[in-house]
Amino acid sequence: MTGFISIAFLILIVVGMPIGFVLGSTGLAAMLRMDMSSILQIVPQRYFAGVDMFTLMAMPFFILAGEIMNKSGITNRLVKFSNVLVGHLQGGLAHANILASVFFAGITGAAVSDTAAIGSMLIPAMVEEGYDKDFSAAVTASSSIIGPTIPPSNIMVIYGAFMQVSIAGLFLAGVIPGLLVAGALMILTARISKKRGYPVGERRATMKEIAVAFKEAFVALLMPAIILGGILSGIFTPTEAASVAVAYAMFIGFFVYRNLTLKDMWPIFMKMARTTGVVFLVIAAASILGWVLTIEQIPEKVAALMLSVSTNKWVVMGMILLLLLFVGMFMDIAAALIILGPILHPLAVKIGFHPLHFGIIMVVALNIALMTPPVGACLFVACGISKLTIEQLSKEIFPFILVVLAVLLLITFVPEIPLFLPRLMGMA
Amino acid sequence: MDVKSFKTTEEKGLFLIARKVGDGLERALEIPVFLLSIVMTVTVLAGVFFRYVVRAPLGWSEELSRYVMIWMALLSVALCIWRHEHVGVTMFIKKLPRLLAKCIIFVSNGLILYFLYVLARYGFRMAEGGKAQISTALHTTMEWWLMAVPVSAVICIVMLVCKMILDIRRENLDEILMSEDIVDTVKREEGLDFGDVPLKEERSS
Repeated sequence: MTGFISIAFLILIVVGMPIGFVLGSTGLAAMLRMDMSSILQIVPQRYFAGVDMFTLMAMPFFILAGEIMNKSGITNRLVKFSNVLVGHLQGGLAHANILASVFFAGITGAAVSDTAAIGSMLIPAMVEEGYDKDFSAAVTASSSIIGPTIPPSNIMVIYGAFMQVSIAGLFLAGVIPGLLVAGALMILTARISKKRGYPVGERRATMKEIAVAFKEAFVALLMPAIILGGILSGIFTPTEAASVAVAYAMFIGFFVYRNLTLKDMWPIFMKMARTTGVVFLVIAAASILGWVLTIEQIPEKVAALMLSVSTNKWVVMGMILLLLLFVGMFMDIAAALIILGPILHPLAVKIGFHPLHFGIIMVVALNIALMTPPVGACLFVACGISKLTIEQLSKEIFPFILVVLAVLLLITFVPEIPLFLPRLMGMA
Repeated sequence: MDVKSFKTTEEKGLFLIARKVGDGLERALEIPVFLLSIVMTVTVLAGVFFRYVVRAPLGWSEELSRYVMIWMALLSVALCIWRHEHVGVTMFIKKLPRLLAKCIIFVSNGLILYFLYVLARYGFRMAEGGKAQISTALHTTMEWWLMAVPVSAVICIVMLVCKMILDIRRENLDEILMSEDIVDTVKREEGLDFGDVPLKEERSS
C-alpha cells in the first residue's frame, strides 16, 4: 500500500493536478483498495473535520490584516523609517531593504507580497543610485524570506494547528532565527557593497528625522506588538489576536492613515477568501489521505526506513533537511508543510528534537525554496520587477542562498537559539 | 490570465452556456463568500469584546465563526476552480506537447470529478445523519454545517464541468490547467504585469 500511495501521489503531482485534489484522490483510491464496507463515508467526514479547527482561522485573519495594512500604504513608511536608520551605511539602500523586510515581516508574514511591495519601490531606487540591478533584485528576494519566519506567520499557524504545537511558542521561536537571517544578509551585503564600492549615504539622519519617520511608522509597528503581546500574556488565542489585528488595521487604514475606502474592502476580502480556499482544500483533503496513512501506519514505516539508514540524530536530520529543501524547490510551501509535516514531525520528535525547534527548522528550510530556481516565487517576482532573467539573477543570488543555508544549519544544530525566547516565557 | 477576455464573441451553443453558467455562478458565489467572511470576522471580534469588555462571554462565538469559516472556505474552493487558481506543480506538464498535455489534464480532471462525486454523495448522507446531532454551543442541528461539504462539492462539479467544456477549445495550457504555479498566483494577486519571466536571455541583436 505504501508503494501504491507514493506512486499514485507522484504521478498525479507531476501531471499538474491541484495538490489538494491529488491528496483527496490518492486517499480515495487507497480507500477503494482497502475493500472495507462503507469506508467511503469517511471521505466527507475527514474533509469536514480537517478544516474544523478554530486555530486555523488565524490564517485568513492575518491575510486580511496584512492586505489592509498593505493597501493603506505602510510600505512607504516602513522603507522611509528603515532608511533613516541604516541609510548612511555603505550600501545603505540595500540595508534599508533588508530592515524594511524585517518590519514588514511583523505585519504581514507573507514573503511574496514583501518582495512585490518593497521590490517595486526599492529596486528602481537602488538602480538609480548606482547599485547593480541583479544585486538589488537578489537583496530584495532573499530578504523577503524573513517574512514567514518572524511572527505573525501563516505557515506557523498551519503548522501549529496541524501538528498540535503551540502557535504562540512557534511565533516566539521564530523571532531570533528571523533576526539572524536579517543579520547574516546584512553582513553579506556590507561585504559586497565594500568590494564593489556601492554608494555611501550622505550623512547620518538626525535624531529629529528619525523621530519623524518613527512617528509615521509607529502605528503600523504597533501591530506585531499587539498580536504577540496579546497572545503571550494569555489574553487572546492566536485567532482572537489575529481578528483584533484586522480591526486594528482597519482602524489605521480608515482613521489614521485615511487612505482606505469601503470600496477597497471587496477585493481585499475576496483575495483573502480565495487564498483561504486554496489552502483549506489542501488541508481538508490532506486529512482524508492522513486517515489512510494512519491506518496503514505509513509515518512509522517512513520513520523506520529513515532510521534504518542511520540512528544518529544528526544524520537523520540531515536527510530531513535535504528532503525539505528538495521538495520546497517544486512545491508551494503551505502544501509541502501539510504533506510532509505529519510524517516528519513525529520522526523528528522521536529522535529527540523539540517540537518547536523542528517547527522552525521546517519553516526556514521550506522558506529557502522561495529564493531558489527553478520556481522560487520571490525570485520570480524580483526578476519580474527588475526585468532580469532567472538565469541572470541565479548567479547573483547564490551567495545569499548560501548565507541563509548557513543560518538554517546554525539554528538546526544549536537548538538554544530558536528555543531561547520560548524557554524564557516558559513555553518550552 | 483573465478568463473573461478569452474570445467571448465567437462562442456559441454549449460553449456559451458553459461560460454563462460559470460566470454567473462565480458572481453568485462571491456574495455569500463576502458576507460569510464578514460574519466570521465580526463574530470573533464580538467574542473578544464580550469576554473582556462586557465581561459576559458569548459562548457561541467560537463555534459559529468556525462553521461560518468552513462554509466560506469550501465555497471559495469552487471559485478557485473556475479561475484556475489552485496550487499545483505545473512545470513538468508544461514541457509536454500541448495535445498530449491537454489529454492528460482531461483524464486528471475526470479523477477529480469522481472524487467530488464521492464527496457530494456521501456528504449528503453525512449531513442527513447530522440531523440527529446537536451542536454543543449553538444548539442547532449539525445538518446545516455539515451541508457545506456536499454543497461545495456539487458547485465544484458544476464549475469543473463548465471549465472542461471551455477547455475543449482552449489553446493556452495556463488556462486549461486548474492549478497554477505560485509565480502566476503572485503576478495576479500583486497586480504585477511583467509577462513571462524568461529562463534565459533571448539574444536580440
